[in-house]
Amino acid sequence: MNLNKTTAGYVIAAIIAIAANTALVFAKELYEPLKAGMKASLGHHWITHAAIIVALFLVLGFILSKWPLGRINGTFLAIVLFLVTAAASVGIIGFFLFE
Amino acid sequence: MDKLLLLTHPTTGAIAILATLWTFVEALNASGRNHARMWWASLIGATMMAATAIGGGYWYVVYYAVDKAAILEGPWPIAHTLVMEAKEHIFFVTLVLSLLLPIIIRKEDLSMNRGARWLALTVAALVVLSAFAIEGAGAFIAMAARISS
Repeated sequence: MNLNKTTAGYVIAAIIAIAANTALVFAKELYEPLKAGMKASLGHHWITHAAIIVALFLVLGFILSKWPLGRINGTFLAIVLFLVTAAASVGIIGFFLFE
Repeated sequence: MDKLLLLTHPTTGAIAILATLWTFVEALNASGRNHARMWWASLIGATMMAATAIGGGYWYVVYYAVDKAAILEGPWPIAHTLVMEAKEHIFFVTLVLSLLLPIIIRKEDLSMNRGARWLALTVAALVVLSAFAIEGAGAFIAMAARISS
């Protein structure tokens, strides 16, 4: 049985937001002007980081839930979400371990 | 005020863990009768996780600099360079997953759709496990700050 299009849209948005979170960590830690810009935007890089990731999830989820994504199985998305979450978390830990 | 905030955000985090664990158990036994209860449990989890983000974020931005300086001078600098740095960023994963769970439960009939039930169970398990790890990381950082000051 396939997922409701709202569910599928928000799960795909979560997968993208989780991957983007790790990419943003790498980018701001390796490129100091980006971190300085994020600090200047909302007063602290962590607040700007939070705003970007939560907004990405909510806005992308809203857009994708209106998109004709086709038939998507829940078990398949559960496996992708698990793998992306594990890889993204290990990536962050590994980055700060070896930085 | 800073000590109150320092105590508040792990408490709301623990409530979020309990509510998400409750959601997980309800999803294991999903039926037409427990759908509303499961949705409320997931909503409590998401709300408490958002409260944790606000409380913990405020403490981190306003008060953490003093502890950070002490930790970096102390015997466990890894408590900041690895544990806090990883914690403050992996938390966003937990937050996004917490916000996702009520959406899945609201839109899907977990008693009829096996794939959706697996999805809800996976998201709930990831929230519980990652939040537990973050609570442990917080305790490690608090200990490092204590022995450094």
